[in-house]
Amino acid sequence: MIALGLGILTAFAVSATPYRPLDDRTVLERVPERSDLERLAPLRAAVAARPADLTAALALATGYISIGRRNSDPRFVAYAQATLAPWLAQPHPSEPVLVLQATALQYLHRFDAALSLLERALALQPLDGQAWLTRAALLELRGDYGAARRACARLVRSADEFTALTCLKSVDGRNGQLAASYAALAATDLDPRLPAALRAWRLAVAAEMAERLGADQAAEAHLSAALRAAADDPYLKATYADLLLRLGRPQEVITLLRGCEAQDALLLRLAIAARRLGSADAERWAAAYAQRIAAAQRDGDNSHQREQALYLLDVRGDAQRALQAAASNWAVQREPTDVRVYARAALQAHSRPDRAVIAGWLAANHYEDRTLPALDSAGHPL
Amino acid sequence: MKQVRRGWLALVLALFAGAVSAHKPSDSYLTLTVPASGAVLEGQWDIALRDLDFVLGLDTDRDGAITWGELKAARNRIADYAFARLTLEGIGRGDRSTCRTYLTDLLVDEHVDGHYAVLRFSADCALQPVTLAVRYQLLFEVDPTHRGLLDVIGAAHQQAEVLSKEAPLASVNLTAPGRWQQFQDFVSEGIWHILKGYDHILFLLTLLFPAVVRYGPRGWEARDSLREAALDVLRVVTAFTLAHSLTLSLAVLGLVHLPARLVESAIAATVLLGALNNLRPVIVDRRWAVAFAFGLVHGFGFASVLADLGLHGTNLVLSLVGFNCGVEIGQMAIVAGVLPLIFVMRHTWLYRRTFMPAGAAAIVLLASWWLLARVSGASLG
Repeated sequence: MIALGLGILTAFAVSATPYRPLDDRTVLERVPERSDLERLAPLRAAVAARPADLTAALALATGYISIGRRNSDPRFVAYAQATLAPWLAQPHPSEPVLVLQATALQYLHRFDAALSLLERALALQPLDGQAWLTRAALLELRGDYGAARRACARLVRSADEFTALTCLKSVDGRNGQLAASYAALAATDLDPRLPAALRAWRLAVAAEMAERLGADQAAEAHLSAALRAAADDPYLKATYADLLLRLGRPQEVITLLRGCEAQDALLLRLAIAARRLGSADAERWAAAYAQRIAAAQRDGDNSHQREQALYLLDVRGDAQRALQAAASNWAVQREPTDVRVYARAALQAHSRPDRAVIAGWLAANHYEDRTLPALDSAGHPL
Repeated sequence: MKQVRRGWLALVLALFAGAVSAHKPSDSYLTLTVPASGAVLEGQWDIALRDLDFVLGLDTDRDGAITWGELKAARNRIADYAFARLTLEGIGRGDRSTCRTYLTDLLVDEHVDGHYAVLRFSADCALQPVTLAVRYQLLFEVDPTHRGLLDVIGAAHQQAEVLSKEAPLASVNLTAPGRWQQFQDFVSEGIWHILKGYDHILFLLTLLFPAVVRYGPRGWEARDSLREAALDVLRVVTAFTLAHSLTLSLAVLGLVHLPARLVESAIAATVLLGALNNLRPVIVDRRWAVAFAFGLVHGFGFASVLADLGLHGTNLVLSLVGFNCGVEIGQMAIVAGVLPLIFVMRHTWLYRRTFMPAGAAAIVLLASWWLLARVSGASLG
């Protein structure tokens, strides 16, 4: 509580006195999405001119969500929501409007609301592949593997075999069939004519499985291939950084992420890597991250519990508070990163009940991850 | 393999969105300063350049960089856009009027998530407002998650509001709470703090318990007169009070600053040493001196609480005195509750032979644990 208070005080303290730049050419702000915005300008004009043009509105909202995701900037997700708002306000919103709104809400970690919109969309159009895939991803993220698998299975008809296979194997790989699922994905060659985003997705799924199997080299190869397909993707970068940190190669994290300080999750990885290296940037990055979190929390945004747990554990070394954050994150999402941070925090904080929660969940779901520390009281590896 | 449908694939990677935490969403910072008398408010409005760029296109040469020159050139457009989305209404006694806002200066400032345009403005409300009504609609047409963080600074108090699309209205009562009210607030904060600050209470108790007895060759023996015991308590409590008032004042006035962890650890150490002295008395007659020396440490602990409450220059002395009075009242309540009880029990074997040593030992254990935890920086929840 007190630390939070201090954090908020320092967050206010950084706002210096307003000033008047001396030179007209002083650059005040970079707009990384300028070219994307230029590309969307005609659509924006079309939506403004023809409010009844649903196709333009959908394309514009899709464009905004892509920009928001690539730059980890929720502003653009909000712009997408504003674009969809008049269509959602209609008595019977059409299914693509519902699916896009669900994607936006998912980004804002409003998972329940997203799932219920997807349900409405699928009631209108049971063959909407994007709706099934988004639903599968949300259920998988929550650890509801049975329902996720059923959603993946619907992709065979509503999308294509490639998408369905990746989806199914990803879920099975977290639900008792890790080695077989990985083998199934690794056996199929990636068609280079597939869209880059799709290839990156498949590679990211394979990397996640390889890492949990203990095949770090393969995982790294998959991730670097994925990053070649989707170079700017912040999720892939964060995942790669986490792998490098676990393998004790913090210097490479700095090389990979330098210049990405604007994105909170990547700034956090930089702070952790710099701390491991004992580098001069460690304090600066850690302080910058703490300020952003304090600002977000002041705004009532609590969707950062995963990063908060990592920050408390790996930057502050405060296992007790890290455990609180990891446990409240656990109630929301159960991706491999979430399992790992919860397990590490429970172990370092010597919390028997939390270790039991995780061990019970791992056993019930036949979830395998060789990178996890031993959790049961007898010290057996799980 | 069936033909891959490409239409929605742009968003395949967005499936991982749950995995990547985002920036804080868009906020603006609006500060209104209301003078003690007069109809003109001074305002400062910090709006993110990225937000203004999205709605107004600040980056006129489209090179992906917003320069000071580009910002200055957009001055009027920014003012028109922003002030069309902020309505201030002054409500006086029996009368109301919309305030006329005009930009007085355009500056720049940096916040945690980038640079902001700083709009300095005046708002002429034509009457001295008793209540200020704010209607905030900046950016809501493009960004339903945008928020305005409003701070109204009156002559005597400050009020903060978060304005959103769902709650765009704020009504700020400008009649300040009286000084007496503020004083009372700080008194109750002081009482509350000493009563829930178990380490302060425990320290006080370790000083109180020996007051009704006397350490002799055969261990603790009862004192005879209530007067003697009460005088001893008076000396101890007075010394403790003087000491912590002194350091509390020094810290709050900013003359001395000690790191919180050091202070918290030292407080645990005072409890530990106080209890050890009851277990194996070293200082018997001059416990008031111990109370004074250790009281200095506790004062720094009180100061951190007062800092968390947030103080504004003009009220510093008022709040300091109020808080201190509260601490004394709380302290007196503890003394008044404990002293008669232990005075009645002082002759009993239970008090002298069991409670004194066992109680002290228990406090020693507890204080050692605190000390260990605070020095090592571990959190006790």
